[in-house]
Order: sequence, then structure tokens, then C-alpha cells
Amino acid sequence: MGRRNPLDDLDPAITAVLGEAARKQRIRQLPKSEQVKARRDAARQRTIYEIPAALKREVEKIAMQEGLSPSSVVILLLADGVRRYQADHVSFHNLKIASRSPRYAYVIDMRAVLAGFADEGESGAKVRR
Amino acid sequence: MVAIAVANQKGGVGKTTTAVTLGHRLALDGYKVLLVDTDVQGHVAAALGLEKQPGIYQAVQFFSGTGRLLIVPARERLDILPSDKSTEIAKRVLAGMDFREQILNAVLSEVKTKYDVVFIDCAPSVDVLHVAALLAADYLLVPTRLDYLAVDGVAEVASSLSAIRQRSGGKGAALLGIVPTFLDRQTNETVVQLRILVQKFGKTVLPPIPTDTRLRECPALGKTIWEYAPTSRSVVGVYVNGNPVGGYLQVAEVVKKILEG
Repeated sequence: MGRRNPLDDLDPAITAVLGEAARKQRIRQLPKSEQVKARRDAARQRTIYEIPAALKREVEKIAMQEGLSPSSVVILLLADGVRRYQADHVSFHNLKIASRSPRYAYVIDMRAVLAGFADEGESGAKVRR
Repeated sequence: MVAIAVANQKGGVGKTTTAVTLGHRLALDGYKVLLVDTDVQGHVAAALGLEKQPGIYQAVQFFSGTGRLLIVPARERLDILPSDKSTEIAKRVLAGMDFREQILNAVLSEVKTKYDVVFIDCAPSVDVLHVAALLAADYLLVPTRLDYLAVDGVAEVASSLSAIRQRSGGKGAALLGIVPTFLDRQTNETVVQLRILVQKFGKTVLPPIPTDTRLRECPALGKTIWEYAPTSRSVVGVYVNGNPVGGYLQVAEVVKKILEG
């Protein structure tokens, strides 16, 4: 029987902080010429948002139809949504519900937002993009 | 009722801040909370904008059968048993009493039907009240700065705890977790000490609390961070790869899991 590794089951917050430190350390150890590229790569945004499974499926379907990556589809549709929001063509007014969390004032009415998609309002899946 | 001792033999690591912040968060979430201050500095009351009072001194009188407990309402669903410099006298009185380590057990037995959770904020020393807290509590929470001496303090408190458990036939607090405080990601020493903590204590290391000026400003205003700056980094954490990491909200969730069994 193998001994249990003390680093197993660490809190994700601890893993994230140590992972970030290790990444910085690795970059510092590279030759100077490679450090710039490594820093640029590290700066590429990778963000985790909660996306309901039904919406994720729709994005993947579009990506398949268009021969694009799901990330590209998300960028295209998100950019379009942001432009429409900035031009006051989108309002969140009727979609916001008061939040019980002190971090955010509101949450969205998931059922209303996802109306028309299969399995609307099901719980979100964490998707790395 | 669940009792949680907040202790570290090193001073200035964020014990009182952790006890007050978690206590108020749980009270806001609907739990009935008591904060017991065993430190002669009496900073639990001060952090909540209240006067220091001889709560521990009166608890000693209650323990000897001649007085009543002094419990002061601080916020909705949050009460405190305060402390002040008279706690020093109380400790001397206790030194001459039998079963002195049972004093906080006696206090908790008296209030157990009134509260869901009790936080015992310990002084940065190994005295009779420190031992009494580790005996009376169900769990131990150890805040620590990420520097060599503070991390050494964690090892010391863990060793005190195991000695107490050995001498009392397995009674005493279980280690709930270690809360790294004053996280500063720019400093190499912080990361080195965090790695040492994780190597020694593994998954008992809880989400870290980032350094936060807003948190330091709270006591001067007599407000908790939930009242003063509820979206500050000590609450919601810092962003690593776009995700919030650490902060008292995440630590409060760990504590709530314990309370909910």
C-alpha cells in the first residue's frame, strides 16, 4: 500500500497560490530570451466562469457546425453581447434577483436567461476555457 | 453547540480578527454566536466598538459559585464574553483553585443551549486559560502569519494540543485547520512558509487570507469587515488566473460545513 501524499486533497485555494508561485519560479529559471515569451504565455487569460451545462452544449454544437474551437465561439458571441450591452440594447433589469451572498448584490434568474434551451436552469458546470 | 478555540502562541497573527470576522459572518448567516475573549488586551470588545469589561474575572467568580456570567450583546445573534486587564487577576485567582482548567468548560455548559457556535479567542501565551480553551473546545483553529516564527508557533500549539489530549485521556479540541493570514504573493518568504505549512499539515491548511489594509482599519471604526468593506480582498480573496482565491468567505464556508455536520 502506498503512503498517502500530504499534498493530496489540498484546499483549491492553497493549490492555486502555490501553483502560481511555482509558475513564476519556473519562468525566472529560464534563459532571459525565453522569459519574455513565457511571461506573455502566462499572461494569456484563462478564466473560469460557471456556465450551465445546456449553454455549454449549445456552444459546442455551434463550434462543431462552424469548424471553430469552443473558445472562439465564446469570444465571438461574448464580444457581440458586450457591444450590444454597451449600446444599451441589452438590459439585465428583469433578470436580476437579490443575492444572499455578500460578494454580489444580485444573481441572475437562470430559468429566464436559459429559456428555450434544453434542460434550462440546470446547475452550472465549471468549464475551463 | 460547537466550540472553536482560535489560538497561536505567537502574537499578531490575526487571532482576534479571525474570531471576530468568522463569528460575525456566522451570525449574519443565522447562527447564534458567542465570542469568548480570554486575552487580557480585551480586543474582541474593542474590535466590535464596545467597551472592555471584566467578563473573564466574573467568569472566575461564577466558577467559584459567587457570581453570574457577564455576556454582552454585540450584534444581532452575536454576543461576547469580554475581557480586560482584570483577566490578569482572574488568572492569579484561578491558579489557587482546584480543577482550574475546567473553567471554560463550566462557562460553555452554562450557555450551551443559547448558542450554535462559540469562538474562544486565546491570548498569545500558554497559560491556564489557553489550556482551558483547548480542553473546552471541540475544534482548534490556528491563524498564522506566513513567516518563520509564526509558522513555528503553529507547531508549538499543535504540540500543546497533543500533550493536552494525551494527559486528559483523548479529551480536547481536534485540529479544524490552519488559516494562513497576511498572504502577500509578491514575497518569496510567504510562499516558502506556505509550502512548509502544507508539507507539515497537508489538507488542514485552509484558504489563505490576503493582506488587506481595509481589514486593519476595521477595529479603529469598531466595525467588522462585513460592515466596513464586504467586497475587500480579505473577504473575497485575490484573483489567480481570474478566479478568487482565499478570503474569509471561503474559510467561513469550511466552518459552516463543520457546524452542519
